[in-house]
Amino acid sequence: MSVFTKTQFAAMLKAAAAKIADEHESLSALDAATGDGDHGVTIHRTMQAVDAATDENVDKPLSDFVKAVAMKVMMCDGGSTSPLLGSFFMGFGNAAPADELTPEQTAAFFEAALAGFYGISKAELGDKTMMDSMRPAIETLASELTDGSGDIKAAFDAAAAAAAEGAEKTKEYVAKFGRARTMGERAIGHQDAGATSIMHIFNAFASTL
Amino acid sequence: MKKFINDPNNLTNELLQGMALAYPRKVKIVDEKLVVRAEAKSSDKVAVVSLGGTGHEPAVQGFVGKGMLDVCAAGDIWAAPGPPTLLAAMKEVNREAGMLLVTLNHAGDVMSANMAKQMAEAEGIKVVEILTTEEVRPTADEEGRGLGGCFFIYKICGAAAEQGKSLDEIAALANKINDNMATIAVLSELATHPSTGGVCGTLGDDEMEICAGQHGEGGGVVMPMASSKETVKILADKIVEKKGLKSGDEIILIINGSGKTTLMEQYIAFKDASDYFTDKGIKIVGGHASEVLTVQEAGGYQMIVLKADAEIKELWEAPCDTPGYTVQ
Repeated sequence: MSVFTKTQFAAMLKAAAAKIADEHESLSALDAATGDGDHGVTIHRTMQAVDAATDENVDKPLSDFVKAVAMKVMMCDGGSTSPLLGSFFMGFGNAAPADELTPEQTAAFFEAALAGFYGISKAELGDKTMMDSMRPAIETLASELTDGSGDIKAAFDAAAAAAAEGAEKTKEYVAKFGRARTMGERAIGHQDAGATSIMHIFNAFASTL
Repeated sequence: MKKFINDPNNLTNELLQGMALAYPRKVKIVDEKLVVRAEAKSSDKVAVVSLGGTGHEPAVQGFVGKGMLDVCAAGDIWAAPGPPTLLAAMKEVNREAGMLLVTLNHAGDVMSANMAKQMAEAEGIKVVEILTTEEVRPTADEEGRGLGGCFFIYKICGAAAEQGKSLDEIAALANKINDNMATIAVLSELATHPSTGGVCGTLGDDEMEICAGQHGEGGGVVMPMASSKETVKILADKIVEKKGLKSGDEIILIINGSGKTTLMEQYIAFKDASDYFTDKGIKIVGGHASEVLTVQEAGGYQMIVLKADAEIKELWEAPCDTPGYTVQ
């Protein structure tokens, strides 16, 4: 498989929304250990918006479709998740030249989303945030697509594995952002809820192929 | 969780509607998430704008009204509004005189405010932001969050705006207040998230946490429960040390109950704090003991202190009329 289509991406977004709907209570419970216990509520609402925006806009060109998703995400009023994932989806819109993408273009599509996320997040690897699973997932995806086999399914499987590994590693980290920041070393041993959400999302992406 | 609610996913809309129905002379709701002054301030005066999650009533949306905020963008329970909602709030009060945007230092609020401010400036809106960071942390090198001290900025800068002060003057005043105030929180009981029913944090039955932050998300110093007087001394010592308060200084003092701690306890704490500061030769020239910024049924309170000068004292006494605070 060497072409990535808008239809595949739409199916991925809907699968991710369904996965988060299944997991939102466990995500809130994870967040309660180091934050204020509502990450699951916020990410669930955000992904429900992604699901609805996908249905409403999937007939538009890919670039307009993802920008419409981004606007709906930002309108969710979900604390830091709105600007973070809003910027992530807005980033996709900067590298969506057609409704069918080559492996190289698919890599650039996801790298643009990561760049959008970076533009607002300021978090680095090891800061115990969504970045800890998102960046390894997208970097792995891009390198599989450009330097590896170029096979779309293999690349998303590898990205999902990288996201899971990144989320697992957050247990070792002290938080630098968000409400867990002031916990210091007491945050060690707890897996970050945001990184776990991104893990579920990439896992769902891979499951559709 | 024992709460009189309906749909756990519609709490924000219902509570904002209820507030506007209770105080129709003071506030109105625009587009579900904007709390706006019922009667707009004259457009040649600077507007004061803020944003924040809900579930902290009366903060922050309850301080919209004459003499305080012109508009406040609401997010959801304990979650900041997204950038488009804040941008809509800024457009609602856009004016040549410009506006002061008051942002409390929490990750979501800061990100939304930064994005919305960029979007607003691109549309020619004149806005200056003040980020409140007045929380006292256990160690000096940690950046403070924005706690109940936003109330001082709303009240005092709101009064300055009513007087027709310029945006530059109001921004300088906001910076002066942020530099001269400090808030420290003590937590005795944990809050419940009203949408999930989940309890936020951990705390033993006979423990309290100093520097607990807004939501009881932890990060403070846990110690055995103590009397009001002992607790006030622990809190006030840290404020005096952080702000370098000394004999002859004048302060405005707020004891802000977090939700479960009763007004009786807040008054007792205010008396103990008054005794503490008076003993040190520090004069209390203004005060308030009430719920300003709550966190559901969290027990404990925030002690909020502002070192006052003549300008601050005068503006503190100026009239205001909001759901959460009124000065005649």
